[in-house]
Amino acid sequence: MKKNKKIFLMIAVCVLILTLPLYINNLYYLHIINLAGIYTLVTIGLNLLSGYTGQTSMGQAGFFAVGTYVSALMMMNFNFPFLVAIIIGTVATAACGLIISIPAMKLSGPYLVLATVGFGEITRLVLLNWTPVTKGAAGLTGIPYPEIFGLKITSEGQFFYLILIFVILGTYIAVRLAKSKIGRTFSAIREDDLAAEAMGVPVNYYKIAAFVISAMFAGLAGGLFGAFSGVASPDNFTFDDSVAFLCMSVIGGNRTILGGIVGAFVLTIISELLRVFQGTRLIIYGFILIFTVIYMPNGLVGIMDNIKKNYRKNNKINE
Amino acid sequence: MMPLESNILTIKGISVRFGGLQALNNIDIQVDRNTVHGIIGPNGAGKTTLFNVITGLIRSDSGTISLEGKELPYVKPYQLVSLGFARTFQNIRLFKEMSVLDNVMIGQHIRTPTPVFSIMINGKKSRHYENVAKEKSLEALKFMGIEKKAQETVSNLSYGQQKLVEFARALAAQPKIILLDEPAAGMNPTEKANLLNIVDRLREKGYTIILIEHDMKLVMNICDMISVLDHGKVITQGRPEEVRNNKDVISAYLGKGEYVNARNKRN
Repeated sequence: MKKNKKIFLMIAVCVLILTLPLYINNLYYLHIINLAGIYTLVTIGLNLLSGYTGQTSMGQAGFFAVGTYVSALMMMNFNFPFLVAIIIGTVATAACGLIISIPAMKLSGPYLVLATVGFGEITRLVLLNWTPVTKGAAGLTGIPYPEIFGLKITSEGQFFYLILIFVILGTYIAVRLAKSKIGRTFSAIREDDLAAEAMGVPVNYYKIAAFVISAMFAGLAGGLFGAFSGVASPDNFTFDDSVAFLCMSVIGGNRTILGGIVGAFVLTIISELLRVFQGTRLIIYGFILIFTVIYMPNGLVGIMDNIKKNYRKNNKINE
Repeated sequence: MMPLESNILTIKGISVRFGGLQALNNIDIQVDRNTVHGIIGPNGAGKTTLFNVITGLIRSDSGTISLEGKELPYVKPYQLVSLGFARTFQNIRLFKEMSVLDNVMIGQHIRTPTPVFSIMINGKKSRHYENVAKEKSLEALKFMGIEKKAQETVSNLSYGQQKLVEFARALAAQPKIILLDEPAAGMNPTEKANLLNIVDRLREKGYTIILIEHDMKLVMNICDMISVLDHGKVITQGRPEEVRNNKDVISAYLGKGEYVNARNKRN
């Protein structure tokens, strides 16, 4: 009986999500949802890196940028089809992840954070100054619409389904990794890397793997972002964006994959609401972040879990 | 007393220097297979340093360590685990926010392969290995008598239980030699008796155990052989009853004057 209820609820949620573009007529809202979907991919990857493995990164915007530029340039300069281009973009980002992970392996805590900040800034400056390829501050314009098996994706509604497929795929893989031996090993490294090493875990390989995986997620998201927005400039990938990604991950709850999804959607929507207060946006983010870290260390997902637990407890007492 | 068996671990001429401090000075120790070997000595004698050298966390300046007659190459600590070493720490080093079972399953890490692709699609292979690791880990927990706590978060357990979880984690790595760094520290008498029983049963099962311990009663009860360290040197080795009456040991623990006093009193 209880199980049936759960399955019914899940089907209802699935149908609701699948038919979302049909009753959201306001294209602006759909645009925000699509953007949040793209950010979700970045946050999921970041959760595997910072929530599970304990390697805080403030350079995700750098990976995001590499993914965007590489896949966009592949489509624009070499006329590669969309899917091939984002695969190349993802692989290129993975390579960046590998490069940054090697010095990062030896660092921890604030030093690691600084190194990742450095990576993000270097990426942005390369995009800004390597004018012949990246078009400098003007950025890339006219990134072609994605075309998959002859189907051209142009409208917000079509993008919704494209992004949804990638988010589902990404979430599935991330959840599998998190719930497997790999996720467990990541957590062990976060808790005590020396003890993990002493128990036979090749800690350095796992740290590298975590960086590469999170870079791939960001790179994939970047590929989608370029095709989705049609334009990309270094301004899209600043330090502020890296901080925003980290905020999404922490506020949603960085020790679960669900937390990444919740965080990305909540913060994308909040940041749209705060558009009026341009300059004060980061200050408000800061306050939310401090509040989260002190009062809900497991993020919004942690709060939902607590409510669920209390509800069950009360039910038991009433019975 | 049991007859001397072929030795499993040979430590030869190990020296370690930290700056101006000679932490270990030309250490020679032989550990026999299927015995409990105690390492005792006053604080700062170099016991934990010796453990760190054996488990590869510290590199020795000179000397060799051989396992079953084969000299150990200089490898990373995690590679030593697959050769047959597993250890516990003086201050418990568990993965605090994880469940007891997950902690112990980390011990199984090297004993089961990691099929990355199969993990991503939740394939048969990955589920099979996960079940094997789980079974082995539960077995280790059962051996320690704490299998009922498997799903609890480690930080909710009492100190004594956490020590047992750490012990189970080491056991789950299926080692030949288990190194215990002060296993009884902070335990109450009941827990100590339980520990004694566990170590006994492990010896019966054919494991070799090396332990550092300050509780002399426990050491004398449990160990087949004892090496005494002081100021980075082995001052004596032997059976518990030999070590107990050694004058170097008494003077290392109580000071020279005290030794004279103690002898005078006895006379």
